[in-house]
Order: sequence, then C-alpha cells, then structure tokens
Amino acid sequence: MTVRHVSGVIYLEGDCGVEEAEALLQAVIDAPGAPIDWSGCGRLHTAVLQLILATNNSVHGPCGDPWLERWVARMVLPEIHARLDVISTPPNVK
Amino acid sequence: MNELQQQFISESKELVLQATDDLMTVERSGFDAERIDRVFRAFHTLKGSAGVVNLPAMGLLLHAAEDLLAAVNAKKRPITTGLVSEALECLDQVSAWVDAFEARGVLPSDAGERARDAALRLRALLSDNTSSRSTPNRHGPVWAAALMQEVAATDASDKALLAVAYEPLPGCFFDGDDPLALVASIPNLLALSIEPREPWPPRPDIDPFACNLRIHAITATTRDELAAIFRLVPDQVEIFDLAPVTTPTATAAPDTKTTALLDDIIACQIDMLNAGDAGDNSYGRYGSAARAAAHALRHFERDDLAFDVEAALESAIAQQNGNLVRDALRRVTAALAAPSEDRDRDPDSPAAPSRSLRIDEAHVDSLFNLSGELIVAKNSLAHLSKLVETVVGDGDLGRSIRRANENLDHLITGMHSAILQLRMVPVSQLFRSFPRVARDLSLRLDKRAELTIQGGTAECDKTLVERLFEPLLHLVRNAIDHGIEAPEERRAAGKPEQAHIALEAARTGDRLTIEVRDDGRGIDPAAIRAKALERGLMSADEIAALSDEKTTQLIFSAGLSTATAVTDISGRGVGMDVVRNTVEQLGGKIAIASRLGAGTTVRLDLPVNVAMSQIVVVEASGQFFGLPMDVVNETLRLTPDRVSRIKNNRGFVLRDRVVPICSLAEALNLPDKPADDRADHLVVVAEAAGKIIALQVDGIHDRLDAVLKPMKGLLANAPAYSGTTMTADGRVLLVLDLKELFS
Amino acid sequence: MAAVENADRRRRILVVDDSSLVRLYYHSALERAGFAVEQAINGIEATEKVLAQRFDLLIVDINMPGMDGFSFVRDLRHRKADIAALPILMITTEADETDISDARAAGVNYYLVKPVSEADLVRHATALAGPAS
Repeated sequence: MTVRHVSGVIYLEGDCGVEEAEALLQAVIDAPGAPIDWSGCGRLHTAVLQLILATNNSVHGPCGDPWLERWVARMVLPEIHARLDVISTPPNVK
Repeated sequence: MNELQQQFISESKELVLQATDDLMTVERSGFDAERIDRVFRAFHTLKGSAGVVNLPAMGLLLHAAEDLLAAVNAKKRPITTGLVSEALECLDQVSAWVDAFEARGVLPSDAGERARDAALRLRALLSDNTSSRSTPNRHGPVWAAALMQEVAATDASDKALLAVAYEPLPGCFFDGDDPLALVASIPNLLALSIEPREPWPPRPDIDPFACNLRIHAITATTRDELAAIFRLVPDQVEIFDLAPVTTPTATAAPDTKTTALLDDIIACQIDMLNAGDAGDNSYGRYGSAARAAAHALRHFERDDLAFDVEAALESAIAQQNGNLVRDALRRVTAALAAPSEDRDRDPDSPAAPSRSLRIDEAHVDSLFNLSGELIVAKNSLAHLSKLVETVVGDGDLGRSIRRANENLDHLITGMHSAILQLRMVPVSQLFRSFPRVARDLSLRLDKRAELTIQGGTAECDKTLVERLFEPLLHLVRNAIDHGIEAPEERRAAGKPEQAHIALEAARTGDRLTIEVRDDGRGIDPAAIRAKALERGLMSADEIAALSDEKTTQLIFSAGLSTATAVTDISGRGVGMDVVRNTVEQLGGKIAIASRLGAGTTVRLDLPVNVAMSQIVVVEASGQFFGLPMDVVNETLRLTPDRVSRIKNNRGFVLRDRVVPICSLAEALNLPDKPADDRADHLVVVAEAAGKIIALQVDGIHDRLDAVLKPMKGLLANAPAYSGTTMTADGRVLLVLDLKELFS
Repeated sequence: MAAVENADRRRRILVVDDSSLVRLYYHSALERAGFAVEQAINGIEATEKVLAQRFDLLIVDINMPGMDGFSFVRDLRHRKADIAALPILMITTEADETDISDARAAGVNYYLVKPVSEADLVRHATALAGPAS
C-alpha cells in the first residue's frame, strides 16, 4: 500500500492504488536516478505502472505480482529493452 | 458535408432501421410478402444512394445483398434464418459505414476489403444453398503482425487468434477504470505490448492521473470472452480477427480421411443451422449442432476448438441467439483450414505467416525479363497484324488475326501483372539492417538514439528495396549526425536524452510512403538561407522571398550543406540531391518538413510497382527515339502559316499559348536538316520540367507499351536517356528523358 | 447405504429402425466398438426411451411407419433442453437432394446413405458421440 523512498531506492510495497501514483512521481522527481524496487509489491494500479514505464528508471525485481513479472517486467528492466532500443547508457560520458 | 451527403446519411439511417425491423419480424414470424418486398426495396435504394455519394465499397456490398433479396422476393429462394442473418449483418456494416461517413466524410480504409469478403459470402448463398465453407482471411492491423512475432509458434498454430487494441481514455482513472487489471484478466494471452499514446513529457510535467497508454495484445480467447471483459469500455477497444498461423508440415503425413470427416461434420452443422426455417431459433437446433461439433472436435483432438464451440453455446443460450454458435463454427472451419495436422512439429521452426514456396530470386528475375520481352514481342505481332489488314483487307483472315492478337495481348498483360506480384517483397527487408546502423552510429557519435520500425509488412517491388537502401541510409545517418543533438544539449532543452528515430512505411493503394522521422533539433531555415546566400544559389531578394517551408526544401539542392564540419560519416549535405534524384528516378516524390527544436520528417512517396511505360516512337536525323507518353500532350502537323519566327527561334500558338519549337535532332546534338519554312512542321508537344515545348521531328510512328530497361555501363549516367526498349522490328530504341533534356 | 459408483461410462446410443435385422446389425457393431446401445422400433418408442434415459447420440432411419424420421427429429428438437439438443445421425436410403435438405431443415446433424458399412458406422458414431468421458 505504499511508496517508500529509502536510502536511494524507491520501494513499492503491497497493493498500490491509483492514489499512490502521485507519491511515486514525487519520489522519482526528488531522486531522478533511483531504482524502483517492486519485489514486494502486490497489485499495481495502471497509474502506478505507467509511471514506471514513463520514467525509465531501472527496476529491481522480480515483481511481486506474477502477471506483471511475466508480461511487463521485460518492458522495464534495464538489461532488456524493447527489441529495437539502441543504447541503454551512453558510453564515455564526458 | 454538403446537402446531398446530409440527405444520404439521414435517409440511409432510416432505411437501415426499417429494413432491420422488417427482417427481424420475418425471422420471428416467418415469410411475409409485403415485408420482404419492403426489405428488397430498401437495399435497392441504399445501393443507389451509395452510388450517388460515391461510396463504391458500400455499393458493392449492397448490390450483392440486393441480388440475394431479389431472389427471395421472386420466390426463387426460401427465406431462411441463415439468409436473414446475412442480410442483418450487411445492414450492420452499412450502418457502421454511414456513421463513419458522417463523422469523417470517408469510409474506413478496410471498407473495400470487407465489402468484397461479405459480397462473396452473400453471392455464395445465392448460387447454392450451402454457406461458403471458408472464411476470408483477414490479416489484422499492421501492428498485429509485428506483435505476432512474439507469439511462440506452438501457441499460435492452427488457432484463430484475436488482436486487441485498447486505448483507454486519458480521464479513465476518474471513472474508476484500471485498464491493466482488465488486460490482466484476458485468458489465453499470447503477446502484449504497452506503449505511451503520446511521448512522455519531462517528469515534472507528467500528470500522474492521466492515462497515457496504448495497449496491444494477441490472445487465443473468444470475442465473447473479450466482450465480457471490456463490456464497460467498448468504445476504447477494438478487436481484430487474425488469420490462423500455419506451420510448415513436418514429418508425418496427415491422415486425410480423418481431416475430411471432421471438416465435413462441422460443415454439416453450419448447413443445418442455415437451413432452418426463418423463425426457427430453437435451442434444439443450435444446441445439437454445438454438441455434435464439440464431440467431433474432441474426438479428433482439437480440444481447444471444442472449448470455443462450447463457450459459444453458453453465450448463445444466455443471449438466446443461435447465431453465436454458427459464428463459432465458422471460426472453427477457418482454424481447421490450416494445413498442418501433425502435432509433433519441430518447436524450433518459426511459424510461417502463409503458405509459401522457396524460390531462387534469380528465377523470378528471369521470369520477369522474359515477360518483358514477351510484351515487346506482342507489340511486334500487333504491328504485323495491322500490316496484314492492309494487305489482306478487313476480311475474315484479317479479323481472325486481329482477334488472336487481342487475345494474346490480354493474356500477356495478365501474366506480366502476375509476375510483377511475384516480385513484391515486404518493406521490412529494406529496414532490416537499420536498427544496427543506428546503434553503431549513435555509439560512434556519443549520441543516444533509438530507431523504431513500423509498417514493415507493407509490400513493394523488390527493385524499390534494392534502390532505396542507399538513400534511406543517408537519411538515417543525417538524422543521427546532424539532426539529433548530444545528450547534454537535449537535457538542456528539456527533451528526453534518448532521441527517437522512426522508420515508418505505409501502403495506400498503389503508393508506398516511407517516413524517416526524428525528434532532433530540426532544420533551421535561417541557417539554410545564410548558406544559400553564401553559395550563391540565388539572389538575396529571392532568398528573402522564400517561405520557411520552401527554404527547407532547398536542402535538396546540390552544393548546400549546413554541417559545420564535413565528416566521413554522412558526407556533405550534397547527399540530399542524390537522394531526391534516386527517388524521382523510381517515379516517386520526396518532401521534408521540420520544426525547429522539435524534429524533422522526410517523406518518400513511391509507386509500388515497376511501371510499364507507354512510348511513342519518333524519328529524328534518321534515328528512332522513344518519347514517354506521360510527357507528351499531343502531336501536330503544323502548316507553315502557323509557324512564326522570332529571331532564330520558331514558335506557334496553341490555344492561346506560345509554344517554342525545337528540333529534336538539334537538342540531341545530331546532324539536322536546315529549317525549311515552306514545309510542314511535324511536332510533338511535350511538357516537362514545368516547360511546354514542341519537338520537331521527321516522323511520328507507333505507340508501344514497354518495360524500360535502365541504361547500363558507359551510358548509365548519360543524361537525357531514361532507358532502352526494343521496337517492333527488333531494333533497340533509346527512350528519352525529357525532364533531363530540358533542365 | 453407500451408492455404488456407476462404472459404466460408455457413450450411449439409441438406434431407431423398424427392421429388427438392421437394429441387430447396428447394435452388435456399436457394442463391439465400446458403446452402450439401446433400440427402438419407431418414433414413439424412441421418444419414450429418450425421455427416460440419457443418450449421447441417436441413430435414426428415415423411413419408419407411423411417425417418420423427420417428424420424430422435428418433434425432438422442440422438447426440453437436454433432449432437444441431442446429436442425431440419420440413415437415408439414397443421396436424394430433397431428403438431404429436408434432413437439414429438420435439424439432423449428419446423415449416411444405406447400406452403411460397419467401419463407417463406427467411425461416424464415434465422432458424433464424442470420446468416452
């Protein structure tokens, strides 16, 4: 039922309803690079999930919801992009 | 929307309502001559109206329905439940189209295909009393093909699949919707994609309570199941049938006897359902049909299809509508039509999208060349046939020869079309290597760019694929090199660091469009103006007078480049003029649109087929040349009094226009006869490169259809020639490219 | 007393034909193939049996005195739920077009033409009655 931001990681725990979306958005704004850990989550409302897809933060799994793990995890985890994605991190950042 | 169209819309709606009522009454209470007549007239009127507002697809469908009802009206056919259902379905479709026409002024792009399929079905009913046993294959929307690649071969084979497009409304959360929960409840899910409907804005601007997703899925479940899941949001969901995927036949040969029996049993159930008296929607009928079908399916180990039929039966009972069973049986027929019967298929073999033969490309090429030469040969026969007529007269022999020639002409043209079709390949072949190219280039230039491909299934002649690779490569390189900013620059501009390049192909009729879209820095008209001035492309006044749009098009001019450094990666901007030339040589057009700071789109518009040209043969300086008919307006013989001389130039007046006369021989730098003012001038009036001109020639001969062979070898880059062909008497004919000749 | 579990899970077929020879022929062929078979000599007896026992398939001859095959089928199709939806295989005397279309109109699920070989009979009966549960 919560979005918790602890020592540089954003945790999604339990079922996250539509109202959690705002909290999640705030968390990723406050900590732009923070990974999102959804290993303890239950059901995620679409609003919460779409933010995860939108912000491109890396996601630590496996997802607590087996359906999401099966169908959506591959859309978010850093090492597995959608099939035509080119680069995940820029090389030689100056 | 003009008054005629308004009237069409209101009249059609009324007619559809009335005909629907009548049909349903007939279905409930049986044959009624007056009602049937009314229904027939309704279809007849609808068909006529569709013609008036020029909606041929609608007209086609209504025509088939009208024929069917005419037969019923004339008591040549009994009115059965099956027939009523078909007529009602037809009215549903018409109603949907009228709505679409009202909303958008046009029918949906698949209207033609749907009309043809439905008309076929209706006509099958007319010819014999059995329903058509195969459902038309529908390929579904373009994205479905891409998504199908993620479906495991074993999951997909032999099943009729459904593709779902779900685009929740932005405000749906406030209605209490949880779109993903609905998607998660789809049974037999085989593939899923979730994308943003519009590009995500920078984080602080994201509205967490606005839904910005577009969801695509492929599933093996039934329409009824999906309808139940999405019953509260039907306007946001679209469902498409997908043709069953067939796998290549593996080792064991199918037991044809068993297959035939199963097919037959299913077909018999459909026949039996269609043979009911109108008004007979009894459970006994469709219930037994469903049970018999399900039994047979289970017996032949098609439990999956049996399940579908049983599910349909339950729905049919709930809705008191036996047609649901019939629809399910039709789907089963389609699913069974997949040829593979062997259950032990190789799990690694990829699912082939359709039945295909492996053919060496060289064979297709030689077939195509042969066919081209056949066309030339048939032209020479036409020539001879005319000669014969002058010698033999218009007697029987002359006529017979002419008829034989016409027949041959028809056959050869048909064959040529069919062979042209063989050469069609999906555009994805062209796009295949680009993601890699984009990746490598991005790495090299320290940029972050993602390349996506859409519309790869669109088909075009393979020549296009071969000839467009270089130009497209140049465009993509340009986009990454010049268009897309470095990550820091993008961040500073509030753009996502990851830039996006889209390669999108689409096919409309016989045109293929390809777009290269990037979300980079766009083209700066000011920079182009400055460069144009610097390079002396045109005067300062001319440049100032150009709109931003026209300025952008200058990018295609040779000698213009706004890159600050010439890199080996994309060369100079000079490449763009070569790109344009290539596209135009293929008979296409190219255009560029851009918004400063937002991105650039380059759009290619090409004909799908390798074209056959019509040529008129002319004579100049003792030689023969071909002029493409598409630039020729007319041919004239000018008497001396029509020709005027102004200094060294000659001209004449053609319908209030002064047309200069130019000797073709002179234009081609061939020895020319001195101008004779007392003789008639034979001219070909041509329009090219925006100019109109009359070419004076010594002779004008036949016209012929020809497939142009492009110039090769030393002459390949010679201007003014677009290709060669053979004349009727076996000589090589040079065909002129007037656009080049005059520019 | 504990109910004895009914071990007979064979598919049940009712054969309806006025010829005792034909009934015997079908009966033995189908029993050998693993079905449980009952017989009726005409439409009336068939209706009684259908109302009293569960069947998975009816095999009906087209020609019967009294209530002919079509009337029987039509009547059956308008009865209550499970009985109305019984799969019916009709045996016709020849592939007469009218017979076939009448059969379809009446609601027959499949038909075979006499004489029917044992193999064909079993094959079609098995497909239409479905696998044993």
